[in-house]
Amino acid sequence: MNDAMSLGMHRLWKDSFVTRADPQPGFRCLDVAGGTGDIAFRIARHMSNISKDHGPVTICDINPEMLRVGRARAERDGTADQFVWVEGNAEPLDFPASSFDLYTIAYGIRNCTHIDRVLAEAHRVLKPGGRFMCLEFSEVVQPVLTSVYEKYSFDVIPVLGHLVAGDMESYQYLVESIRKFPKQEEFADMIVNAGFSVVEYENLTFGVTSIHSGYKL
Amino acid sequence: SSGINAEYGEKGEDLKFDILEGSLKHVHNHGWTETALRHAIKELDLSEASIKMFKLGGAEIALHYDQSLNDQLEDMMAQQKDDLAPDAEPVPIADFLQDAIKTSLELQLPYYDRWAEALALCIDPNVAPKATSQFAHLIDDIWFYAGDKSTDFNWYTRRATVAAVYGLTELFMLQDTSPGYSETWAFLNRRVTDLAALGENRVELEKQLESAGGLMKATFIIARNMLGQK
Repeated sequence: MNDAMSLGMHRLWKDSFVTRADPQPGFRCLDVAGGTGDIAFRIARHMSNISKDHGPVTICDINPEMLRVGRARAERDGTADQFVWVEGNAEPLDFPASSFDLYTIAYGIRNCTHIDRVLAEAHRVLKPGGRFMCLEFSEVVQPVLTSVYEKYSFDVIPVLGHLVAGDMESYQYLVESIRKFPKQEEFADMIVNAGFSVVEYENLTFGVTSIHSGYKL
Repeated sequence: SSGINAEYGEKGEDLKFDILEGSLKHVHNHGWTETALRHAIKELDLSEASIKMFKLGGAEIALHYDQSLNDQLEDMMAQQKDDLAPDAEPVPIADFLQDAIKTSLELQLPYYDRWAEALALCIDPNVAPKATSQFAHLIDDIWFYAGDKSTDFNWYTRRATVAAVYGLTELFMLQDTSPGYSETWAFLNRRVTDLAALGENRVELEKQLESAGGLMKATFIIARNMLGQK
């Protein structure tokens, strides 16, 4: 997630995401595909503000480099004991059934080959009553903004990517992956099909980003 | 800059219902609160993450309970209608209204230790729309079974007058210490009698109705003040 791409807004979106999740100290939390720890650190901080006595947040990522970065951050902050770092796939998940209260995935699911299987695995590892939450790019709902956003995403972002990281291709891929990802309602239907109930979504910033939520009931 | 869509899937509604029902027995000790919800959630062996399904928190227990009382009253009125012999004299409307309101208020008694708090919760702007709509349906049901076929009133004036009488009586009852709430039923009788008398004078009625609109809000505010809350 890059500041240039989201104009720094990704921090706000992630803050909102964790506030909505409102994880309680007693929760067992799993954050998937968030190796660098952005969501996990926020979850731990949210729980610590309620009580210092809270369980560790488990982070699962397929990329060992990301995990390394996240681990180093935690060491620097002196919060290493609040996290468990696991290298692994989003599907299949190497965790027993019904073991988590909260499953989060932020800006990761759109890169998964089989979204339906990722959702099925999320359903499996959640306890009954447990909550699935996803933060992801989505469809901009304001028509005027759509054309501006399209121009911005296809013309501006790759150029920014090239200027910032010398890597235009990755940013073109990024924009493509956002385009290909199902829209809000379609993704919500997929979540229902995976067995979740009381499924809903909330658009942030006119739908540039959306938070989807469902419960295993 | 956000849009929240409606809920998908009905299986969740059943479990939400079970949680709300299970919360009721904890209301005496904990009030209409998330604590009561949490007890029910734990008893159902569910993760506490599920509490976030209840956006209005403990107020949802009060709304759920209120709806169940209204459903109960409707069943009773429907049963009474079925039991009536086909050639029986229809119950005079004033008598019917008085009986229905009294029955409805008596249904509140099992949780009366916490009822003022339930009313106070309805002032919250997030809760008020649902509370008001449930109350409006209750009044509509009462009028439906009262069987009033007169064309003198329009639909809105009927609803407002009965709502006004119901609300005033509910308030009165909250501070009534007489045995069997006899003072409240006497008060109710006087209000229904006023209503019947007013009915003859349409202009007078419409003047009265201007203040009936603010009545329910006043009911909630007084209930809150009685609890010494802000």
